[in-house]
Amino acid sequence: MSRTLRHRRSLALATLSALALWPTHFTTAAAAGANTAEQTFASSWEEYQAYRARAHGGVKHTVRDLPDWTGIWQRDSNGLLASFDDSAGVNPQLGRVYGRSTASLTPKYQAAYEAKVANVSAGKEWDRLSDCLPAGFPRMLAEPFLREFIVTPAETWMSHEQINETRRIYTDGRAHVADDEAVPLWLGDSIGFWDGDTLVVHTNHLKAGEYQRGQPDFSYQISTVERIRKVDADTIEDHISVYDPVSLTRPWHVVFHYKRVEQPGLRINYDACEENNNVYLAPDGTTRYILPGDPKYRDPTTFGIPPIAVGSEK
Amino acid sequence: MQRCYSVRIRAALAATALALGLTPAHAHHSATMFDIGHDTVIEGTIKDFQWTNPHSWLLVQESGASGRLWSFESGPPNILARIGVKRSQFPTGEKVTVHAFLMKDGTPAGLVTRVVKADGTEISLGSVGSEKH
Repeated sequence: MSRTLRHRRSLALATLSALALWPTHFTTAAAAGANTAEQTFASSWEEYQAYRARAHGGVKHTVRDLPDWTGIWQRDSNGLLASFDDSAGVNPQLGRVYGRSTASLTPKYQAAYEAKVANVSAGKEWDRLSDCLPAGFPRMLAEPFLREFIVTPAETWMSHEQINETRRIYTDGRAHVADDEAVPLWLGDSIGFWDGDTLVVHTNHLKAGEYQRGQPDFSYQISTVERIRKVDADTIEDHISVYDPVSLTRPWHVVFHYKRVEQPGLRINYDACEENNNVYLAPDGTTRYILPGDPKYRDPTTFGIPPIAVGSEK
Repeated sequence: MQRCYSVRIRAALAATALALGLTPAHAHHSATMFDIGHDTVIEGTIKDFQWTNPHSWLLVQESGASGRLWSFESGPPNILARIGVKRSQFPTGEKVTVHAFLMKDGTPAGLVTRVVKADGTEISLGSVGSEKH
């Protein structure tokens, strides 16, 4: 850590110790869509610990006083479905639903991102979702499908309709899986605590991936801190700080908004991605179909169905 | 009269889709494979409607000499159901006119945006699939 950064961090922590000032400071910044943590902490863990110190370790909710996050929610992305930070507007090189990236990337990852954008612009794009792999975290936050927040005293689950992803955030006081025992996971390892009605989460042990289609990539060194809260009856907000010393030159602060979806009888159904997944990556880098009549075509009316039951669907 | 009914249905579906924020495509693959914005019309007979994840597919045998089998992709059943689309709207053997953005590679496939049935009823699917992914 540089001397300047250490000094800045000391000042910030000193300020945090004046507890009366910190909540006001954070709330004001949060309302403006910013995050006070920017360039303040050397790592996601330090940022997380600072929040925990401010919250005096956090509160233990019971089933009687847990925040009510029931309902079905959907990301409000201003129409920029292929974005991570939707506040940055459309990427003029790609147009339509591709958002501009605001990440400050290392030279290697910046070059890779520019190459990716050029390829997408030329019609060459392949998404790991097309292999029925999960969006993973933190991309899961940026997906457009329906989602639920299932809150219990010991765990909070974030479920997502696409490929049935379920992320577990442990709030029972446990520590992270030890580094020498951890396996990189699509959704990583998340622990957290409650700062009043705000869920503070630290996530590590993630697989490398991309933030969204047409967005930069991140490395295995990624870790995040989130502050999630319900800001009104129909809005849940997630402030995330992304740290990745391999791909980012400084933390990437992004705010996600999820809006309540109201529809009588609405439910989230199981999404079996492989039941009719006839796409493949062509040698030229484009996405193509395998069509009926091709020997490799996987007919969804017979795939995975006992022969005796084929053709008997209601 | 049928035309008015169809318009009302379309307006209702569009309003529902808007309310749900479902104007975009929700898909698991890139949309760069399609000739987005270039509406192409194919007339034919429904061979099958696959009400499946991660996408629904409408298979149509083209009318006329070509008799080509076209595969048109649409949204997942979850998404389509939410905007009022029903599986029973696409019975095998029915004649339809399909509007789609075709594959750039020339294969007989594309992204369906709307289907006009023989009685003039129009089923809008364009809100699911014409934008992203």
